[in-house]
Amino acid sequence: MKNKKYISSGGLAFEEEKDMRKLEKYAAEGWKVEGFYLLGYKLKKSEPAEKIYAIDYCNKPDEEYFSYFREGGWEYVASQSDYIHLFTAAHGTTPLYTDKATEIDKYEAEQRMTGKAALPMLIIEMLLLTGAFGDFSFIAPFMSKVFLALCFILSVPLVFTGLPWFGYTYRLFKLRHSR
Amino acid sequence: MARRKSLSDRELTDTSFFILLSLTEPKHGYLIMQEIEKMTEGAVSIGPASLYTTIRKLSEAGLIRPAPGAETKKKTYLITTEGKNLLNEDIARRERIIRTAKDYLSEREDAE
Repeated sequence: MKNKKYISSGGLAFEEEKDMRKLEKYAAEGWKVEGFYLLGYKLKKSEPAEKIYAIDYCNKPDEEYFSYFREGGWEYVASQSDYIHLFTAAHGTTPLYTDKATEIDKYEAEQRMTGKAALPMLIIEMLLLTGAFGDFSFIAPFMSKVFLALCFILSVPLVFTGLPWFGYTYRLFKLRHSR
Repeated sequence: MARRKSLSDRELTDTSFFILLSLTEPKHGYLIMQEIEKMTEGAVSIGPASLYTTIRKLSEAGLIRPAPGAETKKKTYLITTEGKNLLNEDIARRERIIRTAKDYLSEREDAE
């Protein structure tokens, strides 16, 4: 019988809560999270456990950071790129964020980071598009094809930063307009 | 930057308010959480991420500082003079709000 399972993430920018509920469901069925894996999570067969999960972002956190979580009842599970951290706790544990101001800080940092990465790519992408549909055959007859090919290649990282930017922007909008 | 906003407004969020209050005596992270739960009789609990972020903000704004001495593994913090001033200002601000509300309500009750 297989005792490892890989599940996909809906993308933390859009589906953080949904991801966490999914992990919670798996934990109850006896699959505990072992770590992040590509664009998802790696699970391992274990005893069924009533656990909740939560994500926090912190670049290269120090021991102090982890001690607060531990003392607050949150067990460390895994990190991705020493930046995204996954924690688990018993039901009813005080959540990671208990006020709106700091929760806004969390997503503002993400919005800034993805925005900073996406913007230059967006500009280059638009220039490439202009190149692809403009007439640059005086340089070489196949120039528009080159531009188009570069356009396709660049669209991959653009989507992976641009979409999360929209996700975080939407989150912040909702947070700021909620009580 | 947004992170400075709530502090430069000279108005404390409830989380900052309680953390400053608890740091009138030196404490490390977990004790801060416990002390706040104790003084509010469980009405206010602060999550670890909110605590970490707020401590960093208060520290950057010079309202708290690492406590001298006791170089243990756990980082201990203490309120600064500037922090005390801002805390007192905010207590007065909160008192004014409550007083206004109470005066307003009692005036109405008297009129009835």
